[in-house]
Amino acid sequence: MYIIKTILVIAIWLSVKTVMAQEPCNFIIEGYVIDEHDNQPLTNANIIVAETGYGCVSDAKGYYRIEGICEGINTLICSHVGCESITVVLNVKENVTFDFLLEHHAHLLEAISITARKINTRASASMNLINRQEIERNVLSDFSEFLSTVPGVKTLRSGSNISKPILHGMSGNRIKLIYNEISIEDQQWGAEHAPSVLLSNSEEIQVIKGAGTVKYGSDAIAGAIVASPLPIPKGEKFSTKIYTLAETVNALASLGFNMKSSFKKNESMGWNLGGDFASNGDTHTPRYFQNNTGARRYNYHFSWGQRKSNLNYRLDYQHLYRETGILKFAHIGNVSDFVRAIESDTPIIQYPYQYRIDAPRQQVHHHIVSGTFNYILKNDINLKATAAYQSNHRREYDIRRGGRSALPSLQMHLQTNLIDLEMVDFKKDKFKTNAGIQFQQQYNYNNPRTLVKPLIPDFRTYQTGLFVVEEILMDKVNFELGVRYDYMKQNILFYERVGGKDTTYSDNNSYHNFSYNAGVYWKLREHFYIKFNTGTAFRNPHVSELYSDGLHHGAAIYEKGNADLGTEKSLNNSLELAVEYPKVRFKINTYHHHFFNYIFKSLEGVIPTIRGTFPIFGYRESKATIMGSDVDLEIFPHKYVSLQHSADYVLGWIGKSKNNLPEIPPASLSHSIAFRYPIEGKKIKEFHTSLKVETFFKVQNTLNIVRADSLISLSNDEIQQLINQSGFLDFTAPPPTYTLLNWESGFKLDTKSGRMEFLAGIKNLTNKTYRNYLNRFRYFTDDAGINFYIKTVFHIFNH
Amino acid sequence: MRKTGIKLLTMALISVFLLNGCKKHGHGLLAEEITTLEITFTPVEDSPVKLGTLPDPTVFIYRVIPGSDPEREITGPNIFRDLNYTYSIRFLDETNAPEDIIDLTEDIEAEGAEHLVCFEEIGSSTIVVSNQNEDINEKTLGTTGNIIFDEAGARTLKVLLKHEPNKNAANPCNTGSTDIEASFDFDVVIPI
Repeated sequence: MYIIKTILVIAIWLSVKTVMAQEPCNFIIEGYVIDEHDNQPLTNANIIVAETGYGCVSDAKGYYRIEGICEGINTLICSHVGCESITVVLNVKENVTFDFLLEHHAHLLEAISITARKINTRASASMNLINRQEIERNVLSDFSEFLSTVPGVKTLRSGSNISKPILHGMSGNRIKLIYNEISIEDQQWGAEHAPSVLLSNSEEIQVIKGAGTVKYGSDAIAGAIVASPLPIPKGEKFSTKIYTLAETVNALASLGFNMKSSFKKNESMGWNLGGDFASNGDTHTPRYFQNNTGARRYNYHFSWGQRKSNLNYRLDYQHLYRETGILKFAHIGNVSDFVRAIESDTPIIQYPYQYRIDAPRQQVHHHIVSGTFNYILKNDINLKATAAYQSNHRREYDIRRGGRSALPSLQMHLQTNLIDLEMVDFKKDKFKTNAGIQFQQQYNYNNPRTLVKPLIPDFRTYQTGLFVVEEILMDKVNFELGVRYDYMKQNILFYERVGGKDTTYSDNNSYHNFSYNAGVYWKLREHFYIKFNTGTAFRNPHVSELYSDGLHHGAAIYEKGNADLGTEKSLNNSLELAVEYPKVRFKINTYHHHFFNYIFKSLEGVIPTIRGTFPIFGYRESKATIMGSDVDLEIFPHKYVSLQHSADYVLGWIGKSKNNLPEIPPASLSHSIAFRYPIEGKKIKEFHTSLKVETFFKVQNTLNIVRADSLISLSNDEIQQLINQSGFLDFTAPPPTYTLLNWESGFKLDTKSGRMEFLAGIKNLTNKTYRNYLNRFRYFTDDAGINFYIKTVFHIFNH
Repeated sequence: MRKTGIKLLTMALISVFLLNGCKKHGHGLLAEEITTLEITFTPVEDSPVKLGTLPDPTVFIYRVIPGSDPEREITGPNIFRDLNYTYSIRFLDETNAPEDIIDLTEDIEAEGAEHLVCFEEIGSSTIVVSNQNEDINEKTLGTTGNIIFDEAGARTLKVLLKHEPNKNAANPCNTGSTDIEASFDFDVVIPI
């Protein structure tokens, strides 16, 4: 292991050396610095290239020109008296013309993107940023799958259509999803509940790994995913974009559009309108079809608002709809069926391809109505207010007896109201204060027409949070300190049938929590920085963890909550080292989460029913540790070629017993090579092609494997003894190591009426048969086979 | 325009908290659920063994009321070797017994195309099942039929009710999901 490390270090050092030696530094960056508000040139703006320290000042016409620019990554910082500086990262392969649009206060108002970029470079938390260009190419893709292109982000799956992101080996209630400043509340506790985020209306997505800030409060233990919506168009003519996507693996067809315009009479006011739909049938694996894995979805959104120099507001509405079939092989009656299903290499019964969706299936409607409001006071204090209403209506349909398959067996309606008030003070040069107060009210209602006892009870929660984050910004060092207080009240309404009579009773819980974090960003050398962040994070137990009680038919398990659970608390440390040269970028992020009481689900006994015996999965809490590392290396050996390598490794265990935690992602390695060739003066603007090789290793820290049918012959005491002796139980050994090959190619085409981008690719190029450890249906089926796809983006200008 | 915007926003802020008014509700009844399988073996005259007087029927009962331990009951005389029995199965919901016992057998027979009764003998195979009833598609349903126990000794018989089996498969009992799984330990005796 030591030798490998040494070789790696030498290899990286050598490649850095060679690349640096070859660097030609004879490019020019030029352009104008303009006031975005009135289009007047800005004189005396400073433009500096961060990598070299060279720079210049704009002249009376706002013009600037910097010579001797090296090929590769250049970070330009443009600043002007009274304006916050703008940082732009350019990958230089030729002479570049770039205009800066500055505006007094502009940075505070709109550009979550600009602030984000600032945070990205100087905040103490580890962050990755996905820009609109990248989002646009994947607008019609699955949100979680798209995010997994970020190094260190994994995907937890329930079959081919339902997936949710994993950060630092954790998912669900441990990741905060923020969209348009709103915390997305969509029953995220369930592994088979996919997040309700709209890619087509996202301008930028920040992936914050680890609990880097107290700003997001409860549930951000593993990190936060923050998506900002498309900005309100300002002074823009009407334009339309149309997206298409077709895939062969499941006969998917998808179409989307975005339209935007400013108003003619008032150019600071504008609107966005967009929508998309997609439909697919059964997914093909190399050997058979995954029966009943079709899906349908449609989404639309509308935004209207205004952006002025000191006032900015917007109103948004969006509706997401998803209907997803659940793999037929995974629908089983009891443990005997389960054993039969997992012991057969291929599914016992295979049906031909089908486009229709049958039970078991799920249907989700998610609506968000929101208003956000930003106002800048004369003394540079930015006030923000956000109010939102969310409605998440989930219906799950099982195969039921007595003609009840058309009746949902689970129907929950979760409604959330929230109000956020926030203040950002920029008035002092070196200090930045960010303070806020958040209110949230939530109501979960089980519709009784299901005629089934609800899996989780009805509840209401009330939450209040207060936070202050202070940043000290110095030349080479940034300090960050945050404190937060949260209060939450849960009111739970139970329903039970005792002795043939329906009774209801209620229970109340309340929680008080303090959390803090402290971090430092330190630029040690010109091309080298360190980030360190330490802090506490917490998460109140969810009603599902406290009070679940019922059979999960799809998974053949009985889920049982534990009303004694307390607030999950953790101490988190993260360290990031980064080297950034124009031709080489290297980043290593190492993290350690110590949980005082990690809440998790594990097999803890069996329960007899008329259908047969079922394993009970109960919730428990215990001291636990999760630690790991993500490594990311980018090399630009030639002006048309880029190489990217990434690796990650996570470990998780319980207290002193060192028993491995369930559902910890396997180690993975990814390499890609991309060739991007710009074409001058032709209709075709750019051609690119890339190849990616990903290897997912067999999970080494396996759980204790026990056959389901030998498990049911044990008593609950014997099962507990088995867990104490040799660790948590699983039904099958983890799947073996596998490697997948993906290829993509594309070009851009300019025509009179607009620009088009065509992309074509193949996923799982070798049609590899494999099973993914992070797919909950790995017991029953192989994963998807070879998949050809075509994507297009048309940007239609209005002349 | 700016004032209109602010007004609209204020209205939105206020209405957001009013939108979500209180809803009072109570949960209705749960759907009936099978809790009990009852199988009655009635001896018939036309048998390989001839007995002077036919014994009374034997009844096997398997019952799981949610929240309680499973119960097994066997009433009546022992099962005799080589005696031809007719069997019939009843499915009951005894959640609210004894006040309210719901017989679900007719429902299940009515939707017989999506059900199948299977017998499995643990550790041996000494039963012969014949003459089972059929669903509307003339495929086996098996809630009634004939059964003969070929060998004497201790036996374990498992009775299964399958939901949505593939009745065209080579072994339909290996398909579909299991709605009931009941096993009984009993002795098969030689008639004297």
